[in-house]
Amino acid sequence: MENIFTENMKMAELIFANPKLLLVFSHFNMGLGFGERSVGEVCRQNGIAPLFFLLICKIYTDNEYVPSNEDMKSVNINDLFSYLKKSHLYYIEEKIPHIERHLDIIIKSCDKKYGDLIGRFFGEYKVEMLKHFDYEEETVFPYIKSLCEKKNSGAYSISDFKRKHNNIDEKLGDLMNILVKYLPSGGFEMERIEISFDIIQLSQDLSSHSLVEDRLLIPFVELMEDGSIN
Amino acid sequence: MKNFRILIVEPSEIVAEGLKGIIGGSTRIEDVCCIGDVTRLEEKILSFKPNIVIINPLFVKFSEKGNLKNIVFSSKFFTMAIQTSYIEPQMLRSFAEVIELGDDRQRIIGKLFGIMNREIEKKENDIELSRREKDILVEIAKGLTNKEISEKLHLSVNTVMTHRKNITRKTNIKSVSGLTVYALLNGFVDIDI
Repeated sequence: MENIFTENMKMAELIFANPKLLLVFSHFNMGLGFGERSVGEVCRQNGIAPLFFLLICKIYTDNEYVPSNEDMKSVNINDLFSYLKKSHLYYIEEKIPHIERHLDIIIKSCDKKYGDLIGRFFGEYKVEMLKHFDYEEETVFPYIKSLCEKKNSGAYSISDFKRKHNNIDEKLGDLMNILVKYLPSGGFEMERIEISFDIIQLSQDLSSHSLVEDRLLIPFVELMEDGSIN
Repeated sequence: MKNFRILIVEPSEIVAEGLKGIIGGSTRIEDVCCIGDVTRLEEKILSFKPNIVIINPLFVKFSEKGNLKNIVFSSKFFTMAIQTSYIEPQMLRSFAEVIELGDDRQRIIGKLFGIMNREIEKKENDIELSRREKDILVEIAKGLTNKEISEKLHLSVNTVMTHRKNITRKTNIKSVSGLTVYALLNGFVDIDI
């Protein structure tokens, strides 16, 4: 799959090859409506390095994709930060409130004691997600920046993050099970089906997001720590 | 092996007693109970614990109780219809099997045995939590750690962990808060813990 993604192909072809990549557009803050323009053209117009963009698309498309040394060279750490932060914003400001609004309708439609439970469960998940992103943005990213500026104190290393980093879609899977299997049916079935799709989509996007961190960010910083990349 | 309990829900005494007479003689049946209406159906199901409920679909069709369907079509037993008048085919499809007034003894027994075999098959692939697993789930929901659970229930920590793995395998729920919601939704613990 990764070989079919090239700078010269039309951007539209890339999207139609894997529609999940639409979310990558939002994470890069790129608009649609690119007509017949190529991947390279659209990326340059948006100030994004085409090779980096393609690398993210490859990781998103192929769960087994492991970036090569050549790939690593195409990474600009600031672009990667900005990509990851944008993704975090998308989850926090778009997707979670969207799911929350729809979940609210389901919560209000079912027995109050069940509704409260589901509400509390999702609330806890939100807190967990915010903590997870906070840790990355407040601890991990500043560490990497200090490494770039050669001001690292040596108190922290990316291996600490590697050990700690987990995929935060576990609770989403649980929510999905509860909504689909265990919450008694009580009206608003369409809403429940829609929200299940939203959860599947968020969960897939989060797991690709995790892959970008595990397969790209962490190895890249390991190379920086080694001194192989400046 | 006498282990089937059958609940017949049918307004006509002739039909109900006739059906009871036909199926009651089978060696596989432990007990048959007849009730004539659905007002106390839920309580009856809880106390009698049937494996098979045979109900006149007219009750489901004309019921004013919104949740009757949830009571009649439960995963805890198989539901068969005893059809005494015309019922839309679509409605009949909800039932595991339909007994008709014109069915002879052999046919009725055949249909019932078919359902009994499905019930046995279902038990074999049962993913319901065992009693022990439920006990442990309750403690998880209360927020106890593996070690605390092991002390409280006099089990080794390893045993508790094995049970937890099985609970997650059966419910597909991994997080403690997810398991808590599951325990509460299923009434294993009180809602306000």
